[in-house]
Amino acid sequence: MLRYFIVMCIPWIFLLGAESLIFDPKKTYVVDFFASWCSSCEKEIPILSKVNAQMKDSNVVFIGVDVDKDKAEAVKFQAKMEKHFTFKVVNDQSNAIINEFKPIGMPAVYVIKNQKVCNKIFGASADFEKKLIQKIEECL
Amino acid sequence: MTKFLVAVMVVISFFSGCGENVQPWEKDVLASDFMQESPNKLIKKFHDHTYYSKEATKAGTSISGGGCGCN
Repeated sequence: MLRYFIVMCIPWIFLLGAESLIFDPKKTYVVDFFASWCSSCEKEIPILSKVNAQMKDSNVVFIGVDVDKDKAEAVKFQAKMEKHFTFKVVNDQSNAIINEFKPIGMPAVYVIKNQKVCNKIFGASADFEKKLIQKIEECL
Repeated sequence: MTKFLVAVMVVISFFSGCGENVQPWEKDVLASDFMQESPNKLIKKFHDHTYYSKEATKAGTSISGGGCGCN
């Protein structure tokens, strides 16, 4: 019984340590890791906002994770991009969340379904919008 | 012998930080302007233009994607 309880808790444990990121198994999540110093991340945020608006009626939830270690920089960047943040933004100054995902490049976008990573996009891409929609649709 | 061991330990301590990899999300300092080859964008453009003209090739002069590991 205890073993079953521990196994069931594993997907939730790493998400509870930082500013909360809890995944509902019934929904599909798009998690975007960005930082103020990453120019490609800045370019991709309006696209994520656009796709988020397109998928408003679907079961897809967008979450932004700001990995800036400097809180002042994070606040400044989020204020600058405020109109594009039509989705929830979580601050990960301790890098606890991103250390669990360990992306190979920034920006990093993960599509999560059933509390598991279904698809991921790393780095800058010219056809990011098309790629993002395709990766989300593959997981629906 | 003790002196030799101390010297070895000091030398090893100099290299203790060399094995750590900088993760893509930790490149904020590397991506900043003062870490660029030339902090002045105009001078960098001028140097790049000279380099491209002389070598008949493009890029390879800096970390791609501004150091954030974007590409």
